[in-house]
Amino acid sequence: MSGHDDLYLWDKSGPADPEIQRLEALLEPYRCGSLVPLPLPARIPMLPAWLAYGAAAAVVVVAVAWFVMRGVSADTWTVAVLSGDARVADVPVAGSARLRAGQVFETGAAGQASIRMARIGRLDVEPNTQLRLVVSGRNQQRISLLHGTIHAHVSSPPRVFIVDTPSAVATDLGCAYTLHVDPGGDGVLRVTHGWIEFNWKGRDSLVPTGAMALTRAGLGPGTPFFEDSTGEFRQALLAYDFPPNAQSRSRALAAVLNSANAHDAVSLLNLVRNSPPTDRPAVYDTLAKLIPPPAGANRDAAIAGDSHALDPWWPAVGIGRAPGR
Amino acid sequence: MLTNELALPRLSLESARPSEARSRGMNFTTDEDLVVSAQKGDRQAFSRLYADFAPMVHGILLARVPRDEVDDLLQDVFLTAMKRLGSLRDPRAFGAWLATVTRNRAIDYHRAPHGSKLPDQIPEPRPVETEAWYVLQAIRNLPEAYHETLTLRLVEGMNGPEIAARTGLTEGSVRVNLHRGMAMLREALARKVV
Repeated sequence: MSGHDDLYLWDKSGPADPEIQRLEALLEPYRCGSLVPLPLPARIPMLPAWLAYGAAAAVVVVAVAWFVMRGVSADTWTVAVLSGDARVADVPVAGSARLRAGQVFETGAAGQASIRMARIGRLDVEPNTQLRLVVSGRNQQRISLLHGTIHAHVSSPPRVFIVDTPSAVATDLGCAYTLHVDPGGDGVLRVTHGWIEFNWKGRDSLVPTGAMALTRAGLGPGTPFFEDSTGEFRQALLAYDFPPNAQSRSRALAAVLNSANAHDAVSLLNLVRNSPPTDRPAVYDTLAKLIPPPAGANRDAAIAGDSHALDPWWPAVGIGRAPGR
Repeated sequence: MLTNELALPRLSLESARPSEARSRGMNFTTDEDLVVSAQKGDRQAFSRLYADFAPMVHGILLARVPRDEVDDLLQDVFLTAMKRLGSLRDPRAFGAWLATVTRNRAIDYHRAPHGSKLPDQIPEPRPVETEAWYVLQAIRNLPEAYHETLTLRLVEGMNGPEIAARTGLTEGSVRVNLHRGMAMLREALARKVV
């Protein structure tokens, strides 16, 4: 979500959106009012403890037996449909189903689902989403998000869970994030916790908590930025990452560097990694102007394209060292 | 058995919500504690859950059933929840569980046959009600994933984090539902599609 109206829509912070305020006032008469007392008994009737525990034990025994008989392994992905319609391998799913490597899972216009990923976490799937489980193994769990929206909550070690999209590869470095891909192959990544490595054909960005990155079909991922960065900076970054021509790109770079502030250091760090060699000195020098270079920083090595030369910078911009770096 | 009416719920909702009371620094019981106490038969604890979660249940019902039915169904939901509360294994999942009970009750409502009697005289609605009704219909006509979240936000006045905490949806899902639902609502209202 971006923009002030979305902030107000989300948690009522930021400048109020007049249209939303008007709807709130209009709909207030429908709001839950004072409650009619519930006709409760003096004490809530409960199952006897021995019966409750007995029933729970019986459920556990039956569940274990069911799993053993079905041969469910540690690499199993289980889909639970929460609402609407959903299909596994073109077969409608009612309730829950297994998802095997090679199979496609898709949700309809009102379909929402939660997928338990083998040993590594949970994937919430929004309506109109289509994904394929590519690999479910001990060292790698990989899906291809063809289109739609997923929310991933991953607890595995870094680089185990990977999502392919038509224009970027998202490699989990231990995190939670939302990834959307539209039918044309463009996408948006929002990281809510941890880090994501977002790469495609030589572009390789690190996206930390609170940042997002766009991706364009045929071009790959753009530079990550924080959602609360200025509109001017974001527009300039967009023009630089996805320019209509080379001339406009040089103008956009100047706008990026002029509008950047210390809060945008993560974007500049990624830009040093991914910009052409001719652009890197100006980007690096702007970064060094906004944030004092940390001990061990090496301008020449960074400009020469040595990505490890930027490692000392990550803690310096206040977001900690990226996993595996 | 269901005879003694509970005297509590004339409290304002704000004063009865543990989460809001906690945020104001008051020493209040958590929702999980309330669920555990209610599971042990404490009706005061259950009445607090009633006050705390009523807006969520109201919003979920309002998104699905006629307005006139909402208050009765709200009571049905909580009485059903009270009877089944012993089967809830994880007290932290109370909100998500209650939301499911509510949705199922709305489904049952639509499955049951209803009379089609009309009152002899239908009063003319005031203009502001007409527009409010129109907007509510527009919300109800959105895809299921969006109409519930948007009703909780725009009608019940809950914010995004609160909706996520109450319903058990992830914050990410709520954000997406609000964002897309609002975009679709704006479009529907602009096109006057109900």
